[in-house]
Amino acid sequence: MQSSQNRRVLDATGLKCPQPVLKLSVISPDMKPGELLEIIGDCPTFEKDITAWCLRLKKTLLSMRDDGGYRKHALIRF
Amino acid sequence: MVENGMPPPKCILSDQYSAHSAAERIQPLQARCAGIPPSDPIRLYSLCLDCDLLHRHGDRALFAQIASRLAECHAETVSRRSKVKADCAAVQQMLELLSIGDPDARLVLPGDSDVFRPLVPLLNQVADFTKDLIEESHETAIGLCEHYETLLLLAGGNLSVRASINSPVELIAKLGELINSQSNTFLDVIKRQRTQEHELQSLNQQLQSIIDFLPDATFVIDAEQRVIAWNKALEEMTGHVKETVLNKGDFAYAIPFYGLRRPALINFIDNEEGLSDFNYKYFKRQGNSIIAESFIPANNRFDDRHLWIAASPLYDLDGQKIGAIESIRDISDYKRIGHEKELLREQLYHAQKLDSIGQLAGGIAHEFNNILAAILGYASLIETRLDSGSPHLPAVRRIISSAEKAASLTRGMLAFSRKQNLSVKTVDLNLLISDMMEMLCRLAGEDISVEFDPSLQDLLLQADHGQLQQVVLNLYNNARDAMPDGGFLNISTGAGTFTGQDPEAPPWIPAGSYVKLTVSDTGSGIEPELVERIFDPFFTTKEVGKGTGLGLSIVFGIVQQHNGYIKVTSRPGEGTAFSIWFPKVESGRVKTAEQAICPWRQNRGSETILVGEDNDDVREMIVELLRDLGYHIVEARDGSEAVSIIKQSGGTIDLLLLDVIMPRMNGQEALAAIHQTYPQIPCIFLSGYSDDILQQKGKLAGEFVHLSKPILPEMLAAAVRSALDGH
Repeated sequence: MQSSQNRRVLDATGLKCPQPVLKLSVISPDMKPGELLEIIGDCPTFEKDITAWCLRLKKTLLSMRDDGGYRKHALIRF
Repeated sequence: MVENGMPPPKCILSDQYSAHSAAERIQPLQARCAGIPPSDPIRLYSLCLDCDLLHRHGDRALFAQIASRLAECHAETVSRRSKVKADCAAVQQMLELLSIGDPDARLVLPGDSDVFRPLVPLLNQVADFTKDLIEESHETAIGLCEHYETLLLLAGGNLSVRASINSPVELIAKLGELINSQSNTFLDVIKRQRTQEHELQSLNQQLQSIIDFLPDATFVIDAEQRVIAWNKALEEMTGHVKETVLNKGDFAYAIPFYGLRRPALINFIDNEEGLSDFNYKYFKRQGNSIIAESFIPANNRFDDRHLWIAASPLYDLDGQKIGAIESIRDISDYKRIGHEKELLREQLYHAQKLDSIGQLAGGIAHEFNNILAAILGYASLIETRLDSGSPHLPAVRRIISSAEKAASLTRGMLAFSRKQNLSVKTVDLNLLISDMMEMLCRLAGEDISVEFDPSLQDLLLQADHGQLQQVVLNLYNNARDAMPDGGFLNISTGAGTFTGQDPEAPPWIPAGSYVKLTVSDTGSGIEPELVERIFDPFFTTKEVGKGTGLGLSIVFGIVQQHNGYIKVTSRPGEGTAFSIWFPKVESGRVKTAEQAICPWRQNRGSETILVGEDNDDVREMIVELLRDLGYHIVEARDGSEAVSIIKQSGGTIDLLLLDVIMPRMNGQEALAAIHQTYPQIPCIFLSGYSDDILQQKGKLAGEFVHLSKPILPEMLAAAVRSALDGH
């Protein structure tokens, strides 16, 4: 996981779902309330899984950017 | 017929199989049918050269028909091949979607070719199955994530959080129920623990409050020797607050009055080894507890202390030792007060003893004085009546000399018994001693160095000048005689105000301002067992004939009569110091010298004097002495008779000479009655010792002349003349 000034980045490309959401949960304890996480994935259910994860775990999905193909960027506020 | 695993080509004109090999018969036709790859098995159409149709019709029309047919076949073949290709691509894409796990993968054949049509339901069935698997696995994963999050919150102390139990995945739902169940169980346990912790904290607070309340300095250690309680009394005693000591094992540093790092009594609960190294004056084991008294010498931070210490182990419910408690009580004040009480008790005992002796001595001296007064008086009369060449004169003078020595002894006894009449004036102690120094230095001899170390302050006191001189002289003599081989004799004065808490002052001295006189020597000192007897009359350690044993008794009596206090400090072989404290006065007229007494024979007169004295011998002696001096005498046997005579005399009496103690009416009462009629008549009191009434009314002593018995002729003559002359 990378970290920039105001957000952290989790590159989940190449990981098959549901690996990205499991990764999200693993790093979740390290995230402080209000902190931003950008996660990148390219599995077919990435958007659906991230959306469901945020809804169920009460995190805010700020945006979901489609980069073409299956590759997408999601921005989550913890 | 099957050749090389492939069916033989059929004739394009019939359904017959060519009997010829493909290689033989197709080749020419293919030459005319350009564009058809010879290797394409699908395109391998044959024209059977042996076909009867061909031989029967063998014309161009037939060949045209064949060609048309071939063209149709070719077109059909091309069309079919295109559909198959499209379908093949669709199948390929479908397989790719399935391979990456796209749940939306669905196969639709664009060519609907016969070749792939059977795959459609199969592959879509696989897609549906894959989709179900993906959705279930994702639901499981997110459900796990949810439970993971819940467990994280629970672990963080948020006991109100609940796991979801609505997952369509049965295992996840069951896991949520299990988490909630365990959470509830944990919650109950935690609530119980919190309740118990609160109760324990309350109990601990109560115990801490109790320990804090204890007036004795108290601390508690656990099994690992760590301090778990340190009360306020110990904070005050040591100066270490509990926060600096709690949970620390090395508490020795926190008891600084020990002056060194050393074990406390608590360290000897199980093992007394080494106990004797640490000044425990008393040690006792009572069951599991130990108690001890310890003396802690003074160090650079603390005065010496006496401590009463108790220590005991602490046990749990199973009887296992879990720590120990120690309490320390500073009994220094108790010890000091006890010591002071002991001193006071000894002082009281000594004072009572001396008072009893004084009563006896005073009584004897009084009786002796009356006898001596007669002896001296009559001997003096005989002396005056004898011719200077009379052979009896030496014997008479020896009688007078011996009687005067006896009178001196009785004066000493009276001084000790505090029954002397005092002529109290304001006296400057420094001046008094300064006046005496020349004489004292002369008396000292060559081997003794006498020093006077006066205080720079004014040291005024109310005292009888002569009595105070007697005190200095007696102490001086005592110091000088204690140094037969020479030494240093120091007389010093000082002043101070005692608050009642002064360590240098004897405890029996009340608070107040005092002047202090100290006479010290470097002589032989006094053995401790003799110190308490040195003020006893006639007690002396001097050789027989060298001391009467009254010197210090007289000092004691005079000091007592002046409301003073005396303390003796002595070390055998090093010397002795007598310190005396007299109440200080701030101002007053200082009398520096006694009036000179004129030779008695010069004090003659012819006035009329009333002599009131109950003792016949004394009265007759006085009367005879005064008549010898030319005076007219009227006698009275008691105060009442004196009053009657005065009333009948019509004011012809010039002077009253009254004994203080007489039957029926004493001298004081008689004077008071006479003064009602003749207030101007002067009076001289005579007394063996003054009674309590006169003592209490000390002012009278300053207003009237007193003559102490035995009365010396010159004293009587001078006093009478002085009183008549109005001095």
